[in-house]
Amino acid sequence: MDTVSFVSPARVRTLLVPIGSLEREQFQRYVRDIEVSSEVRLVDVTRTRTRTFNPQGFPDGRVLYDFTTSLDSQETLFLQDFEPYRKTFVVIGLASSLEEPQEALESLKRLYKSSVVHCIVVFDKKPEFEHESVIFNATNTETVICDITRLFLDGLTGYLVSFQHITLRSPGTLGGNERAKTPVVKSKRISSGSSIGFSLSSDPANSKISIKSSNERRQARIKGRQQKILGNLLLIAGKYSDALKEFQEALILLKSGYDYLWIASTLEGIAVSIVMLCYLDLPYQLGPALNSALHSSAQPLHTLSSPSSTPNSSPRSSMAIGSLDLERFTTTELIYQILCKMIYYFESSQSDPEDYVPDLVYCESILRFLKLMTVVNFAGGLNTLCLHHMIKGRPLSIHSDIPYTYDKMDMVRISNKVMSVQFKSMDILSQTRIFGSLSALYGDMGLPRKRNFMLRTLFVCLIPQLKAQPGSSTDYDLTDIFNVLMSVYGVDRQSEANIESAHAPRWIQIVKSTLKLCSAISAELSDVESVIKFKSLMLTRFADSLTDNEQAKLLADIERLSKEHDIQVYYPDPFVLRSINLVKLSNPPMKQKTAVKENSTDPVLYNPYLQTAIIDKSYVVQGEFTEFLVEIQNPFAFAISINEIKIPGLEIFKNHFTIQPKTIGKINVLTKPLTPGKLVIDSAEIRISEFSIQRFKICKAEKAANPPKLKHQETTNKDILNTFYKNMVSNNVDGRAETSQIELHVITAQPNLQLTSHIEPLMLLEGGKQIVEVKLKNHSDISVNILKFSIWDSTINPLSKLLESRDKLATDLYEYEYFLYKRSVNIISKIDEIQPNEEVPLLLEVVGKRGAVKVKLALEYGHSDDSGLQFTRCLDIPVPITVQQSTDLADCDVIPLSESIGSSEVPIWQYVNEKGGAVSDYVLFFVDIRNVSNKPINIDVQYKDYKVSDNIVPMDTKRLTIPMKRIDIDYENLKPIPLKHSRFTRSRISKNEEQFQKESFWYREELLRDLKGTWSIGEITGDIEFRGIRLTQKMLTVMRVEKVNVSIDIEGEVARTGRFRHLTPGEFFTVNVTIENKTERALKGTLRNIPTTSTYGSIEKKILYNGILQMPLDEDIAPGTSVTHSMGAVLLESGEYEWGAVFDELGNELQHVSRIPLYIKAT
Amino acid sequence: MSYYLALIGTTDNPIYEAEMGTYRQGGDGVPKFSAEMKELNPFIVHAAIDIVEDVQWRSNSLYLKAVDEFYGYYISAFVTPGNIKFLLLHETKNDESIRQFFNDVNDLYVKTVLNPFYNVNDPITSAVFDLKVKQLGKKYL
Repeated sequence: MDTVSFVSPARVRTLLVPIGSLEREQFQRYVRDIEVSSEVRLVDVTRTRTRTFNPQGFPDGRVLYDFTTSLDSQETLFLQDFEPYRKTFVVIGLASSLEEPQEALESLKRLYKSSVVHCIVVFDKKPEFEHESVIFNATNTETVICDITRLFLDGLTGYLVSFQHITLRSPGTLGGNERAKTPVVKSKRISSGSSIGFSLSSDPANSKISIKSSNERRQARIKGRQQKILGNLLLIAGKYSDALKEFQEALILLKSGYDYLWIASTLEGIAVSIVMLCYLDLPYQLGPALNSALHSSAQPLHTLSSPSSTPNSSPRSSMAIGSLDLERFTTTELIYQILCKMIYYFESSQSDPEDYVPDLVYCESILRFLKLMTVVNFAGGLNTLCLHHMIKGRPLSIHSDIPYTYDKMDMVRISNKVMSVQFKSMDILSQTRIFGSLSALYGDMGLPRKRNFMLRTLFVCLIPQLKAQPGSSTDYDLTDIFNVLMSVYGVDRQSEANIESAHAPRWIQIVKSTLKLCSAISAELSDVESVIKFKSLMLTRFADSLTDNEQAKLLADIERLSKEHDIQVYYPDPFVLRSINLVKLSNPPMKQKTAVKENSTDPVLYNPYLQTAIIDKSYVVQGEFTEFLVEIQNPFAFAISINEIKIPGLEIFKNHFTIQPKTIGKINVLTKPLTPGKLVIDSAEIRISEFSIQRFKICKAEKAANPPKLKHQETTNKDILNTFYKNMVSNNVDGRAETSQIELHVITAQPNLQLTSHIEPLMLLEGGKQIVEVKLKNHSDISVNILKFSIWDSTINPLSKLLESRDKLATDLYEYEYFLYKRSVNIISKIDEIQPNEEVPLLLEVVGKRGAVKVKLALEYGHSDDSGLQFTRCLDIPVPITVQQSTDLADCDVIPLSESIGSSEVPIWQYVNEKGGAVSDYVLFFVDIRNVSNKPINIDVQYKDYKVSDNIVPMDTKRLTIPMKRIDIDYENLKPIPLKHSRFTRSRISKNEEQFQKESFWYREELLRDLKGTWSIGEITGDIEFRGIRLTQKMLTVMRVEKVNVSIDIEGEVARTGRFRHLTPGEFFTVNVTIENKTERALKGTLRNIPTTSTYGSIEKKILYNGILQMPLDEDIAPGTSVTHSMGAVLLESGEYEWGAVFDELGNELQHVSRIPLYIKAT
Repeated sequence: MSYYLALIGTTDNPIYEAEMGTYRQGGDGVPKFSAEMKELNPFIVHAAIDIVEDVQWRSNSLYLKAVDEFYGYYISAFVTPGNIKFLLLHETKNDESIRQFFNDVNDLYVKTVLNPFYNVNDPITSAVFDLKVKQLGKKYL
């Protein structure tokens, strides 16, 4: 039965004990049998010997039994004279069969001396011994209980008699209550003694019975107390009307004796009697004594200010102080008034040094009062539902829509009185009862926080008790209570699994304290698993609010407990794994977009623009060491060690790492991929410190959160600890963190080539060549059947950069490209395949390329099989090279030849004459070569079949003269400059300029094609670089064979010496000017003859000509034809003359000049 | 005499907590809570939220006076229109002073809320707020 049931003063406390050898289950079955008939109607009980408790006098009455199987009234022994219902009146021995009933009965009486009735119920075997206290449970337990009731009522008479001759004293004067009494000064500290919330006017006036002397007052007290006890006993005995009468009489006497304590207790008795009469549905009569008692003083409950402005449902409201009329009250109001008064009198008694109220009585009375109010509130009034719940323990269905009979805040105020009591001196059982009942009451009243506060207080007071009794039973399952406790204090928010929870504000101080408390309680109950869970939870969810020491201590505790009890523990930080990254392989295989074709004729074709397309994926090779960078966070104040990391699909080499406190550590993990295929890594199994191995997802970042501004309706009774553990085990972090994954492609084993020998550093002169050998070894079991060489040298980058610039002329760009494509290394040996573990030599010809500082041979190799997927890896073969300049092209020039020199001594003339043809078809090409090496140098230069050699001392310059036939190309229809990557450059240059660019380019190309040169210093030879040649406009004019050729000659045979024709003054001659059209267009224009003289004077006076010097041509000159224009002339004076001709083409600006003028000497 | 002030957000979270002592009657403004009481303070105040949530609907005024008591300590409450609860744990009843105190703290709180960088339910960490609350405590308590 409920310990704070309002009707417990009307119950008979009965102890059930087993007799003889009885199995536990059997005993419990008997107990259940007995408990069925806990209510006995007096009409069923045979009459007793005396009149007082004679059941026949009040046949409607009931005797209510409160069966217990443990004797827990020892602590309240001193209260039994004050509140007799605390006494265990009846002891019933339960037996299966009984051999020696007399002895058993005797021992019962000996053991439970204070009880009034001792009897034995025999269940199975009828005892032979006949005794009224030994009852055989023949038919049903009800008759047995009726028999016992008669015994009890008889015994009660005897008990009453024992009271009649003693002076009843208040419990305060009896031993046992160690209340430190400070009646005058009421301290409100918890730490000091008494703590009464408020004081009242000490003297309740208006007593109707005035008693003068203290002696009379004492007598009234003695009599009143006797009657009150009688009332209590009658209440127990079920004679409620009599009890009510006795209580009222007692009230009068006690009032006249100012015995507040006993008045209060009497008032409670009256209230209980009324409730019981209501239960029996009988009317009750109230005398004036009660009225006066209720009337006597101001309302005690108005001492607390009430903010309530609409106390419509409160029974208080209908009451006018000072003019009480009991008839006006409903029963609920009446009971409320009586009980409020009871509290008032209890409090009044507290100032009395002797007759003060014991704390336990005070608290329990208030709790009973509160319980009554709660039940009445739920049932919607003091109705059958309510009464049956209170008395028979029938379940009460809660109707939330019924307005409360009693005001909730009023109840809270009354409940607060309990918390003004000094509990430290109270025994633990009473304390737990009070706190437990109070928390249950608060729970019923819909005050979860108050309930939690009480639960916490209960636990706090339990801890020292549990400590005192180590090794208590672990049977208790406190999970539900803990869940309730924690969820109200906000521990239930799953911050590890939910971002909203993680950002939800909470009361850290309370949370910490609660968790410590729960953990301590579990520890005392030896529930190690829960202790570990609590501690882990604290670390996981509230680490940021713990000090460094606390964190370290928690960790130590968890580790110690898990070791001692061999319990699996999980690492408290679910976000430990922050990232896994593949460390860029030193030589990663690359996927070829298309299968590499069989090595073409030239395996070393370097084209920086035609790079192999690489699909941007991470490839790792099966069975090869692959390194990962794993980021591990440690938010805690203690260092953690990573003892094991497992990533599925990878073989991991064990390593131990330590992550320092409050850091993110990066650790390198060496692995070997096991099987080819796609590998997605989203988590890793990690064993941290002493914790068991766990799978952690990669938590990249925290999700964005929007903290709630409104409180959610909290759903209690979540299994907080297990939910937490489930989160930890399954690493349920998706609600809080953004997880990520990395995707790897594991490819089948690939060959591995290594360079087994290195090239010694080389010093080359520009243009020089040297052959070197390196050795390649295939270290794998896979053959290499794809081999691609590419060459890189340090000139590539600057040249590429130059190529990108926009303001370069096409000729320059061509030069850049030329040098870009010019190789600095040639591969001599041809390798198709390298077998596993084979070593092959590789012969290279290294060329001294101008400007090369670093040269590298990049070898892409791989294994190609039928699958089509091809991966190559790169092997760099560095060629350490230093290129020194050998020769320098200082300058060049071209001059035309107009006059043949018949010498055969000079090789040039020899060459020119040998070749035949007009001298004017040849030009002389000069090139200045400077020796910039530090040794004398021999040079050999060849142009077509003309050779010239020379020797140049260091830092000296030599000019070489080379005869060259004029170059006949179609300069009017030149192709554009061939660039590998055509582009629009300098589009705004003029047409002439463009023509010049083209001409200079193509003439130079012609020139360079035939111009070869080598140098030699001792053994070393090399090519002379002629690309430095730049042709100017003048040089071009000299070099080219014109399309329109203007030649002048004198008709007929004329004597000539050297370049001069000999004429005599006065001699007539005809000058023929021939215009030859080699173009593809018809020419028209004006021919101009320009005769000049070398001597002083005007030409008009020295020469006469027939016709005009300037004359337009009559007819067009068709392509491929020539026109000759003749003009007669005579020289007037002797001297030297020069006759030139110019053909001005019509339609364009072109002017064609006769290459060699006509030289005439007149003598 | 000692005071414990807690401003409670809408999700039962403290946004500001302070322990104060009185300057009256020769007090030096230093709170003199026992160690046990210091630990209990938040719990007592937390439990009082239950009462406040009930009482706040019965009154039109923001100041709810003493709503709860525990072992001779009173808890006075003030509820802002935004449902932020100001709870003060104190030892003696002094409705008028506490009302003024709460009103002025509310002024401070409103100024805090006006801050665009302040979100409802965030803890108030401003040192100025703390100082001013303490000054108000000195003035009224």
